[in-house]
Amino acid sequence: MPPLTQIPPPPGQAGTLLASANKAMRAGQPDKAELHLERALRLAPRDAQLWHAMARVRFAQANYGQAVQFCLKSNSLAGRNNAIIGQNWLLMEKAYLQMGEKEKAAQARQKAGDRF
Amino acid sequence: MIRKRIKKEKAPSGGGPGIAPAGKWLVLALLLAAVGLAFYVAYLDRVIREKFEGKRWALPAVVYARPLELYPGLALSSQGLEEELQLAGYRRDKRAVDPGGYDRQEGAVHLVTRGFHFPDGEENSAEYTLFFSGDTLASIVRSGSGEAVDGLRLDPARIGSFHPRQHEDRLVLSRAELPELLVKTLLAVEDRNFYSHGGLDPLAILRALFANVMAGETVQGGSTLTQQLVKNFFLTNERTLWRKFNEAIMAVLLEAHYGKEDILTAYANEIFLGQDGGRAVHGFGLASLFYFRRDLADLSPAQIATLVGMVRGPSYYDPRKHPERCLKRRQVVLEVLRTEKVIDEAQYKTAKAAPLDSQVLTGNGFNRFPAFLDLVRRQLVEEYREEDLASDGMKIFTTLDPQVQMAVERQLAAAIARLEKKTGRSGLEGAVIITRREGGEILALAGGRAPLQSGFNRALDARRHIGSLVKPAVYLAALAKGYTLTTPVEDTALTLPNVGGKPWTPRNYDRSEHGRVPMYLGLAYSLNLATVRIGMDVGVAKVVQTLKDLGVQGEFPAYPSFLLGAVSLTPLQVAQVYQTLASGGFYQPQRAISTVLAADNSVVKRFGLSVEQRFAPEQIFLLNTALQQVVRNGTGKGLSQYLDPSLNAAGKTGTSDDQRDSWFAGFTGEQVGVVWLGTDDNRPTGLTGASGALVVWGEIMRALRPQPLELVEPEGIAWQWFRPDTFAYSSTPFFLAAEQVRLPFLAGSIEEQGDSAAESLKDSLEQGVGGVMDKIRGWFQ
Repeated sequence: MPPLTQIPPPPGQAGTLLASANKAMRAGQPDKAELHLERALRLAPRDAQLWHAMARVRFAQANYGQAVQFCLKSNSLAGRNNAIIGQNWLLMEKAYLQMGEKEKAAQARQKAGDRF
Repeated sequence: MIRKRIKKEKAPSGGGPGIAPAGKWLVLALLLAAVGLAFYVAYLDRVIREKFEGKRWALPAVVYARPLELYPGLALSSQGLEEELQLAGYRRDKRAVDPGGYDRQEGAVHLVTRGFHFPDGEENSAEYTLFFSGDTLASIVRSGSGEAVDGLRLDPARIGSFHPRQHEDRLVLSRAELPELLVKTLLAVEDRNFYSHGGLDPLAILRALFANVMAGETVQGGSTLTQQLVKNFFLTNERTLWRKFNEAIMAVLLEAHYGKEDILTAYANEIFLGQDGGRAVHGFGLASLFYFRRDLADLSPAQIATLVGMVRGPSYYDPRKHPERCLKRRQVVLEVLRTEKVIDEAQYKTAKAAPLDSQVLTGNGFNRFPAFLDLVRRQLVEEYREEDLASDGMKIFTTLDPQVQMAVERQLAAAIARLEKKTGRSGLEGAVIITRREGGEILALAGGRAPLQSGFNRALDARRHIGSLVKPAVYLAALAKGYTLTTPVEDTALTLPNVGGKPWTPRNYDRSEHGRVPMYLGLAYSLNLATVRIGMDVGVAKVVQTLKDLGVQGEFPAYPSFLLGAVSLTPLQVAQVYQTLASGGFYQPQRAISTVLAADNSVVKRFGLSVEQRFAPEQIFLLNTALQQVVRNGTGKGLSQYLDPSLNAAGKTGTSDDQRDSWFAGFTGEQVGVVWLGTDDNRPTGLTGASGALVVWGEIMRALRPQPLELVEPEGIAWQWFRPDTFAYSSTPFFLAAEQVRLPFLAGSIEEQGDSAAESLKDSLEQGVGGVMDKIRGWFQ
């Protein structure tokens, strides 16, 4: 999955916490990243990027059902932000594959393609 | 068993020569007494060991409020921050230098945070200055480096704990955490021979006896620390010789089993040092925070002397109630310290000149929120045994927002009093729940009008008919079936057969019929007839399922009266339903606890975020727009007295039969709120949802300074101007039409009408509105 570099982080403290979460993810500590993100979401509760980051945490925790749900949540807040929506569908594809749901994965792949 | 042993022991001495019969009996009696005593001592030994072991390891679970996140742009006044600081046990200093202190300057607050172990790691103490601009936190500057920071987090307020013995509180410290000056002072004043006696100090007893006889009253105690500890374990104030005797034996036993340092540490944690309303303050660690808002390690010699002086009689020498007595006692203690060379002359002089300087007892957050703690306890006992909660030293991080909670308590009590005056009825009660719109965190919970009265927690346990609060489920089910917001529905009388009862003839609140109305107005004006017709068309079972999907667990019979809210729910359950609406159709379980840490700060249990999409975002978007119409034009219009209409709040009123229950549920940009009013014996209140609960909701939300509600528009929505009087649509506003509203539609849903509607709208713009109206109306018939 490409990194989310093209999407500017939320401003201020929420952005700082997202950076801490990303760092924890890179260090292989999704549980720690989760705590940072929950904090960030309290400050910016409708930031689609934070919800997407949460989906990545759930994916790393092998909780694929919730990874999909957090992607859907992120999409519901993304408005017309195609970059985030595309990332969400890509992650959903991976999650569905992990769950053995090939058809849904293919659909997700298709929807991701529509956004790039 | 005793008998047996006595017999055995008697046997050898039985026929012994040379002892007179009377002497024999005496020996026997003495033996009996000795054996009896031995057993009694063994019994006391068991009791005291159990007590000591139990006490040593019993670390009650501590419950914390959410930590306050401070960041530039936060809506918080310096006054609001001070309230939070007081709740979190910070003290106001002239100039804050130690952790846990703050001072206020012109437009700024300067503070030194306490180091704290958060679930995500340790945060060290640091010094900041926060600058305010009106009611907004403008910037945060870190002292020393002088750099502006993005944000900081305060250590959270302790709001309660779970104890083996209720109402007893302490902050358990280890021997290493006891300041040496405290230990020396304690020994100098209470027990000079502590390290050399074996539990009792006969010399001290004689000295005390002498002093008391000379004075003609009890002026001095001869009890060692060990004896005092034993006395504290059983906490009775009877002064009998028998008790003294027991105490003495147990003190000796304690010394036989445990080391001096263990006994000293137990004493420092156990000693009773005051009363804070319903909780007893035990141990020097908590007493230090309670009286001085400082950690024990940060106390000055004068403050240590004050606390040690209070051991003799915590309420008699209470620094707040009896400052003169307390000061006098402190000076005596300081005198002893000087004589015993614990402090030098200079220290003595400084300490003696220091003011008593205990912090006034204001705004301490401990056990202030029993209704919320009740919810926390209920969630915890599902996972843990009560004994573990009372002994394992767990740290429970909750979602309680003290600012919101206090606003709720204040507004609820005041509004209820006002409403009682207005209706002339007494006994009105209420319950409130405020949650975070995203995440399902419960920020505040009121279980009644008197927040400190624990007992019937109405927010969790009052199960009442929800009346029209159920209607969003009816309309959501209709939208799922293909209705649009403007689908015409008949608000006309109807009678429905009722299995096993009289036929049911629902009525509107105003007892009239309104004919053909666009669907959204049925919700906005809470029209019962239109709602029942929609619900019957959709199917009651579908509506029941919709309510369950919104987050209510349980089984409900699908009677038609369900459509008008003949279903009993608690305010907490209602909050879950509106939470799902507010978060765009995603079910997020309500959470009162976020994390539980073990005593060693490892994570024991996480109650993390979870979401589940239960409804199509488009349908929720349409429904929420209609709920905004309720507030803008419908039964919720009265909110404009409290909230600026530009906030676009969404909500719904509810009134049960005979006005027994008055409800309002709704949401703004950040919060979901549910208010219930009613009486405990289910009498009529004389209030509708709009004249009762709405008022409370409005007052609370106003106090919370809400953000505007912005609904994120899903893709595939098309907006149209709509005239409810003529059912006409237009992509641009109608010319000179008094009543028109811009409403969202699923892109496909008005396509069939789209072209012809657009044409005629063009006509109407060209010809003026009047002529074509009948034509447009004709299409819908």
